[in-house]
Amino acid sequence: MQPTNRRDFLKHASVAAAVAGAAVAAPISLADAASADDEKAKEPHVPAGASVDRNVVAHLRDVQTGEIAIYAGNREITVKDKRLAALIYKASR
Amino acid sequence: MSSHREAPEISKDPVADSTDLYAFVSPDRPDTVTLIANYVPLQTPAAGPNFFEFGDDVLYEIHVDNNGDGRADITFQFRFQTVLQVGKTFLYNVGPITSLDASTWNRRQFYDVSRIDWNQHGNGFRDGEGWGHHSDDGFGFGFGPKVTRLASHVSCPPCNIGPLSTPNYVSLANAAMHNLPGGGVVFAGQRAEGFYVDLGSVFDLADLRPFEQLHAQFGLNVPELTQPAPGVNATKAVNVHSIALQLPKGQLTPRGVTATDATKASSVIGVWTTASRQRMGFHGHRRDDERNDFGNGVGPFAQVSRLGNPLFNEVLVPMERKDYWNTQQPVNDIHFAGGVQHPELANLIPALYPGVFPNLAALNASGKVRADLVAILLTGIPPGVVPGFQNSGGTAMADLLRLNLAIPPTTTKPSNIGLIGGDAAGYPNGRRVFDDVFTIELRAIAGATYGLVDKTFTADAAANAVSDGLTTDPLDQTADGTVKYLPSFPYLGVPHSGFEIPALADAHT
Repeated sequence: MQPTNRRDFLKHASVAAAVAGAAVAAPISLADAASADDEKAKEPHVPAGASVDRNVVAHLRDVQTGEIAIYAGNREITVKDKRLAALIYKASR
Repeated sequence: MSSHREAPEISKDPVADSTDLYAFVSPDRPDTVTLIANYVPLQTPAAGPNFFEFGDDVLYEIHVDNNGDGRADITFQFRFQTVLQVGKTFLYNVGPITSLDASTWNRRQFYDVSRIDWNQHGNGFRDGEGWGHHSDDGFGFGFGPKVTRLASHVSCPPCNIGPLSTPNYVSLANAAMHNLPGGGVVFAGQRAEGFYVDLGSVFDLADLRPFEQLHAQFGLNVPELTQPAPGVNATKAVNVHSIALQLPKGQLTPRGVTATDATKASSVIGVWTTASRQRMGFHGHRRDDERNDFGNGVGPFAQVSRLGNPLFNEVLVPMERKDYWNTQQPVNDIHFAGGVQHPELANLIPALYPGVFPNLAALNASGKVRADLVAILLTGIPPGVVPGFQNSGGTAMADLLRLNLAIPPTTTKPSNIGLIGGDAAGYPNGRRVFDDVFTIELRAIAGATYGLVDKTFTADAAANAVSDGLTTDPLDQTADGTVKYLPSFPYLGVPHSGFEIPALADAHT
């Protein structure tokens, strides 16, 4: 089979997904260690006029580790964000 | 049935329920191969006002393994879109549908076809369109396979309603056969069910009406079961929805090689079909429905239905694992091999027909692995088992419908019992629409094929005779209700019209 077979393809995709997850999670991890003011300053920037252009659902998998699956369009993205996980957990109580 | 409602959960989701898969060298165009995947089982023809259709929210796929590793090398994807073009009417049509663009046809369905070549680098997936559903993350890194759009927004025919609504159904169906680049043809729409089985008796504790006087009575002494009786086709006069492709053979072989040598592994393809749904869905009215129209699904597509060999999941996988099996890839089928190596039905047959299958009973008692069934259903039949025949492209244990493309179609007196009837162009070398796959697999499980792998074994006489009694002999292609087969693409017949068959009860009288 050629190098980019389905198995390798999925493996690459998984790695890429993990990278994408890490990229999302990293700023939040830094924010955890920052002061409240810094945290506010580092909150994700939402461009003016931005709107939801696809279905987006967050699935809280583990409130202790902060693992959240985000379904957006036809994608599934895993992030680790204890603060966001705690917010979702609290809202669900 | 073949795979109709074969697992508890998918039986509740008919739009995504694969029922039959066919793969054969086209008898009228032997340079091509025909692949047909059927969905939406057991359609009563009189189905108004909401006639049957494919699911807009289902990803339908036909996969081809052409190097014997049990993994897809080529995948054809089909996505459907339903359009209401009249509006403000409760009707499917407001006048005769005389053409595919008739303004009287309210609820129409269109579809796109894409081909994925998993072994070729290409443009990857298109985020938001559902292509490459297994994971669409990371394609910006250049790991994407080659994706080719073969057809866009092509039309399905309407369902066959009756002489006023669909007055010339054949011309409508013919207009819905669309040419593909490179000489292929695609059709997606309603067809007459081609599979036949006496479901009513078979699932009454494996009663076979032609032999029911030999069946165990459990002390009940049922008077109706004392004499042989003809079979009753449970799928008579129902329709199904077919996705059919006819493609030049070279579009399915590795590097487009010409499959002319039947002894070569490269002449063998393995085929299966799947249906997938997005992981999460919304139901009911949502607060943002008017504002946004993003559909009801979200997340990657997850496989919910699969079909390679007929009856595999239905007969060989225990009930508690059937829906799990549907989510799995064929390459993982070694985990289900036990049901093939030691099939439950093989043990039941001697118990249900006392004294009729002594050799099968002895084989069961020996604990020997049913290597014949493993070859037929999981690995393909290797060279040397059936003289002059093989359809094993590799050693992977995977439930694939394996077809040796170099074996020409049998155009004169084909046998409906395929290979065990001496017709190498039939099941389990692929599957033709008229193949009596129930009888073939029943006989195989009853021991008729075990002698191929163990020359010391003699099959019971009954093993070569059992059937559900829907055909009179191996040359019979007119099982009750299946006389509508066509000699050319898409081979499955013109669907039964609701006007002609207003109720299933009438169809069986």
